[in-house]
Formats: sequence, C-alpha cells, structure tokens
Amino acid sequence: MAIGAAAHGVRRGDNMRLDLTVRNGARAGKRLRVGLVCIERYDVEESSSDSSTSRETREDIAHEEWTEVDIGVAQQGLSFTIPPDAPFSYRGTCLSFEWRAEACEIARLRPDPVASFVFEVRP
Amino acid sequence: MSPSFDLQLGRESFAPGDAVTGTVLVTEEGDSRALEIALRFHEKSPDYEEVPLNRAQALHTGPLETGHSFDFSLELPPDALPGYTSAHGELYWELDVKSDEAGRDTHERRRIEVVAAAEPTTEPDLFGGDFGGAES
Repeated sequence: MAIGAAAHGVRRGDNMRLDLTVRNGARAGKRLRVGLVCIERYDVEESSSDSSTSRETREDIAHEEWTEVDIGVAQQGLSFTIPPDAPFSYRGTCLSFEWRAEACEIARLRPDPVASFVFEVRP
Repeated sequence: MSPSFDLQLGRESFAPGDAVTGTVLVTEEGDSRALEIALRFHEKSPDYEEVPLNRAQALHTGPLETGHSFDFSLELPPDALPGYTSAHGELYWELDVKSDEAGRDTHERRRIEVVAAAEPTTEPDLFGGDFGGAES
C-alpha cells in the first residue's frame, strides 16, 4: 500500500489530493481510513517527586480529517481541504506543527499508520 | 523617575517584507540611559517562550524629555510568517520599546498583525509527482 500526492505543498484553504495505491496482498476484510492530521508539539516543564524539573515535549492533534476507503479498489484519488484557519507547518524550538497524510487500519485501538508522509502547509 | 511612551503606528496590519514604521512619543520624561525599539517574532508554549527573530533599532541615548519623538522603521523578512494561536501555544509579532534605566527597564509593547504572504496564481507544478510515500 502506498499514498502519495501530486503537489509538494499546499496553502491553507487549498485542496490536498492524495493518490492511494492498494497493491496485491491487501487482506480482504480489512477496513482502512485515509486522511490528514496536523500534530501540534509543545514543550512543558515537568516536575518530578524530587522537586527537579525537566523539559518535555507533548503532542496533541490540532486538526484531523479522515475518510474510509474501499480496500478492493487498486487506485483511488482522494481530496481533502485544508481549513483556512488551521495551523501552517512550523518547526520551532518550543512549538511546532507537522502535517501528515496517513493511511491506517480501522481498529478499536488507534493503530500505527500503514503508509504516511509529511507535507508542507504554507500560510 | 521612569519615562512613559506612546507607540504610534500608521497601521496595525503588515505583509511580509513591509517596513513597520511609526513614532515613539515620550509622554512623561525620565532618567533613561538609552532608548531602542525591537521587532520580534515570538514562539510560545505553555511554559516556554523563544524569540527566533529579533530586529532592533537604537532611537536615543540619554535622558528623555516629555514631547520628544523618535521615528523608526523596521523591516519584516520577506518570508515572515503570520501569527497563530493554537490550543497549546502561540506565534506572534511584537514591537517592544525599551528604555534602559538604572533600575528596572521600562517597556511599551504592542502586538502587530502580519498577514499571510500573497502567492502568484497557480502554475503547473513542473516538479510534480509522487513523493514521500511510505509503503507497507
């Protein structure tokens, strides 16, 4: 399985078109979702029981949009709109926003993606 | 005695590459050693703050008298990012007038809005094609 995109980056408010390729061997009965996710990473000061502090980076989902796909179709194109008020890609020292396109199995627990890539969202 | 200032701007919103121009008016005299203004891009998480960009301009050296005014011009980078407020952090631009004094310095701060850069109309992507796709 693979996902790709025709454009290297998009602006907020633009459409992001993903191309999904399901190769031979995809197991029947599996359910798959494909989407975009923006992960916000931010630094916080953590206190431990011995009164010392440390700098930790936490994650949260700033935006996500998913659609369930038919795993029986070998090639399919999917389109998502980046909201105009969503974060733009930014890699800072104590704050960052990373956009990813991902394909994941639909399961009760959140599984690791089976295919993904990072792309840029410009302001 | 600490001086007071009025930071006067012709406008509050700017585009990347614009010059941020204005005047610092001394509204109350004071014992300042030096006066400067800085244009800064701030990055803020719940517990930390960074300043990835800092452009400063010296305005005056010595005591300040009521009615003094100082013009300034600080240029935004051509690739300046707009501000953004998220659930856990913030990106923003700020002007900071600082009077260096023997005791605690006096600051007059003002946030400014930087809008997203305009992009040319969409052209065919000469470098288009699949990229970065991970596979299973």
